Amino acid sequence: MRQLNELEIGQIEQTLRKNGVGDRTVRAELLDHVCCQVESKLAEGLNFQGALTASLQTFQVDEMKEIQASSLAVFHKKYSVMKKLSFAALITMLLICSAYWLKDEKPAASQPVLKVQDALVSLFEPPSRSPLEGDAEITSGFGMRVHPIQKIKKQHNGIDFKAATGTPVLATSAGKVVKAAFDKNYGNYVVIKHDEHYQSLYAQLSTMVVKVGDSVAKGEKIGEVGSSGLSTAPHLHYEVIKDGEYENPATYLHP
Amino acid sequence: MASPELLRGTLVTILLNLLAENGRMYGYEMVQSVRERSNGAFELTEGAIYPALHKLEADGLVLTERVVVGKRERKYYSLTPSGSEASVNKVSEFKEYVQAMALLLNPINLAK
Repeated sequence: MRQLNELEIGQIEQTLRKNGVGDRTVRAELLDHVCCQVESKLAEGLNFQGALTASLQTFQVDEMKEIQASSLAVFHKKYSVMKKLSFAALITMLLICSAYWLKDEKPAASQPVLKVQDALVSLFEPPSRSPLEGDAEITSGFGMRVHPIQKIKKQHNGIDFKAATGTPVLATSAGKVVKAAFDKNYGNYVVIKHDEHYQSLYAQLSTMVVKVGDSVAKGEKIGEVGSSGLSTAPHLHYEVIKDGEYENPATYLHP
Repeated sequence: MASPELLRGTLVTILLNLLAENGRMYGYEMVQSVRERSNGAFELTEGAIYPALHKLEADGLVLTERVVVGKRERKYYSLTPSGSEASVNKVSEFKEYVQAMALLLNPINLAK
């Protein structure tokens, strides 16, 4: 990206100064902002005058003057407070502050800085309730078993709950529906993505009441129990998948 | 595009977290970053961001340093220890708010 030269920066500064942005500190900051805007417009193919005009249309001088006024008010308040402090208090404050600043030079490893992404991700939690209301009987657990129809030893990637056809099936945590489809083994099945790590799967449904892209809340109905795939009787087959690996859902049934 | 009222109420949280995440930033960079990361939904105006930053500076939550970049001066902001603390508090406060809103807005809960 082309950087503005001294002449161009000077011209922008003159414009700000002429329009009443008189405070040097505020002007320097806003000047840099406008210069950045102009440079990005230059990169879009405008010439300097066109880029400057376009920038000043989105960031008008009236707004700049308001920023200046509010900034001066804020800092003036700070200075009058400072004046009231005694010299000794000032020195003490400086000592404390410099200790902090020195500490701050190191990467703040010990500081609990919560990052935006962590914060948003943690709005969603792993599956933490039963997919059925009340105490449903688990008829087949997680792990190796002899498949009831295929009669071969096979890994069971989830758990089966015995329940009558039509029993509501509930999302075990908030998330987004990423699959709502039919498979000859799973029957009608729904997959909910809860966060970067967790997904949950609900299979053998008689009906599905959500579609791909829907957001669901924890406890929201997503379908009804059935026996729509490779199955001998109505039941809910439920899976919890963490980072692509099957987890034992029995450990995710409670908060 | 998010409503200005909602954005105003969360501006300080947004700014403190940007700084918590990136360490050191200047005003224009924050505007760009918020626009990109929110897929254009959040458009911070200069008239909102600079007074907010100056207030944070006066309140001792951010430190500033001036660096000469090319032919001009750039003012960088970073968090003070109390700014880091405020950022953590603001985020958890907002998280609780969003969770409560989700409960209020979720029609399933009304049916119960």
